[in-house]
Amino acid sequence: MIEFNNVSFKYEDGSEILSELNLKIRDGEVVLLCGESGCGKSTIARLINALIPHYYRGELEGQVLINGLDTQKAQLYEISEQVASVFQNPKTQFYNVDSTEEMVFGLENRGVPREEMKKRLEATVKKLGMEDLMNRNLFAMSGGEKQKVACACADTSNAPIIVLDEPSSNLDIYSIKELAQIIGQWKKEGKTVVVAEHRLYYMLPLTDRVIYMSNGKISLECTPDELIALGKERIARMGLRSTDIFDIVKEETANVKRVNFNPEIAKAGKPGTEPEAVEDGDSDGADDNVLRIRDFSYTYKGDKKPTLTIGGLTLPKQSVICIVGDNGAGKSTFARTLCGLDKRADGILEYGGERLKRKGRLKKTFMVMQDVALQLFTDEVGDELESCIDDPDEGSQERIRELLEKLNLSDKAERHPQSLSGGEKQRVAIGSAVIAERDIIVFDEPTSGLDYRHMTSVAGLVRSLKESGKTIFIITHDPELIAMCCDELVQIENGKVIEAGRMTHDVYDKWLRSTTAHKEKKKVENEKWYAMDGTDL
Amino acid sequence: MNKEAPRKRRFHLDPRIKVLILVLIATVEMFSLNIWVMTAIGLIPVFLYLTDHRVSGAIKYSIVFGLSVLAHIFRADIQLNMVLNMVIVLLGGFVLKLFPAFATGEYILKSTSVSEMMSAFSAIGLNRKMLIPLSVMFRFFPTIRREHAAIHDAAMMRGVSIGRKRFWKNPGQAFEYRIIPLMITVANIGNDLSAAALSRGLDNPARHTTYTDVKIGITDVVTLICIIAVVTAVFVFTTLM
Repeated sequence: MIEFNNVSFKYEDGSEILSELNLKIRDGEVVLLCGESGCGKSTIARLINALIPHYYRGELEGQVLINGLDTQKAQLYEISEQVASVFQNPKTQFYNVDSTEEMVFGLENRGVPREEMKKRLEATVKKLGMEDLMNRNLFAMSGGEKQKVACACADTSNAPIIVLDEPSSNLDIYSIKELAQIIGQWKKEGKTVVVAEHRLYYMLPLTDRVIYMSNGKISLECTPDELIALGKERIARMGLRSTDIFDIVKEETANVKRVNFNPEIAKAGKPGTEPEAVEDGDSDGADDNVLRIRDFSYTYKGDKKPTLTIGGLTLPKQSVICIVGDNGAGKSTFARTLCGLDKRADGILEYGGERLKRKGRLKKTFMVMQDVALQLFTDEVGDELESCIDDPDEGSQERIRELLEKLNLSDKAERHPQSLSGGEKQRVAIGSAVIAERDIIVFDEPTSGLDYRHMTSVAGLVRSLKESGKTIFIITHDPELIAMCCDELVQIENGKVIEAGRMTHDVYDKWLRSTTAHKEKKKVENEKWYAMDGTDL
Repeated sequence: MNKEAPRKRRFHLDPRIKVLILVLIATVEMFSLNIWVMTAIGLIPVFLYLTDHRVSGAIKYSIVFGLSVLAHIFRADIQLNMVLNMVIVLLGGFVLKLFPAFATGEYILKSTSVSEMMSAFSAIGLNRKMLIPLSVMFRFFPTIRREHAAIHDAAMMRGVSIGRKRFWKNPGQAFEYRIIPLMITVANIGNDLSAAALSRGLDNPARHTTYTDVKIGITDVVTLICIIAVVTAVFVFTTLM
């Protein structure tokens, strides 16, 4: 039983995030906390696992009771036996380097004897299907795998309450499905599960109660069905993401005739590409409207076979190209190859009559990274943009000023880039691409962990970049972003392009279905393998 | 996979033995003994790399170390201009004296898991207050490497990597460009990491147990004896001759 009695909380910087909150969560209930960024849902999660007040400082009033323990009086480790947590960022929640050691870390801290640890570990591994994730280097795992390990850690702890703070932010669609299965399993066992989340669609079927928050208060409490009944528009106005990821592509794009730009895929007879729509790709004429990717390949150090092989891919210029595919399919490798960032990568990009090798691409492209803080170097936003101009002249200050205005950053010109919010940092990075006159801009997961409003604004930015003549590549798992701004969908699986073409309703739905089917098949093969091996750990 | 020994490695040293080897190497290097003893010491990391299946690492290290041995041997025979000569002698001496210890340290970091290290050092009674920072350090090396690679990419895109014009206009600033984002993200990661570790009872005062079992086995003893024997033999042989 979780009880919030008149809880108010202010962070140390003075921002009030919760006010006079009352909430009771019964044992065995699955509760979904939703609302726009900054509404206080993560704060609730932190109050439940007692990181507030023990780790994140601030002014706390009222009382939070976890199975009768007052979180202000109890020690953090006492609460940790009641509450297990799964966090948003798979990169920063592991203490060990080895996955198995991580799964027993909580037990080691509690002083559980080795035999007992083994027993619990075995039970968890069996229950969650973790056989292939044991004894692995966490640094070499995909986001989905890491999050599964995080769930396993929560499971071995045997805590009756599990709190998940935006667990799906960095996951592909299949991994989200697996996450949903794990939560379903916990529900069946009668655990109390509290999930703070932007993505609603996968949680709604599991949820007993939806709590919608705004401005630090609960402004709606209802069942999932009641939420869905509010209708798509109302839900969007509330700043929430879609309740269903199918059927969100607008119909007008569905009527556009589909032209397959990629003869190679059609020739290979991959299902779903209509050969009659094939446009002949080897016309070497000066077709200024396309960019061609030729013989992209990437071979890992020590490997004989390349991990990425893309023989030929023709895409329209000045469009938004979404690159999809599961975690670990080769999307990031593709992006790094495209940007000329990796010396081990081979291939040529033909862009407007130019044949660009690696170094040429380095000057033509720009990547807006997922962790955008890593690419902001200077101590002022204005300087940041200035440092991107090759040969500054009198006109450049003027250009910077105009650009800042366009990006809605005029009042932030003198701020330290690292002190800005995530969205603002992203806009500064985009600004440096624009001012450096790069024609191709690659986004790496620009909307992971963003609420509806922020996602829409990213989509708007992408569209305006396109209108100004840029070609945009977006690596993403976000179905809603794709539905909102994608022109061309390219699906990569196992380092190969398996599908590429104009984005339509059908293409979108087919991708969604295939992306889970693909992994499903692989998993069955893996299970067979383990069955043959005769191991149970 | 066997339940008792989840880590299937043919040759696997106990972390305590690894550290002992490191101490041994560092101690012998302190006394400037003759070149043959130094070479014998220098060969230890090659052996360790090979047992860890890191052939390319072993080769690279052998080449660098071998060159500095050659430079040391022929240093009197070749007359170059003075500055160049000095650079070569200094560099060679540096490699000769420090590389074996560095390489062994690197081998230890790469081949030892955090939990193994914790088990081994709590077994010899090291205080937990010292163990936690040690294990965090272990955890942070790969993190820093990864973040640094991402920053390197970002710098390449901006044209501030070594070998580009803009870098040499103001190398000091280019260095700052790399360090600031790295420090900020490492600090953030550290923050999140501590929160995650605390939410899993790291502050529990109960006596912590360990999952990984560490034992000093026959391999450990034999390896250590062999190393000591070879180095001593080389020393005795070369000084008595």
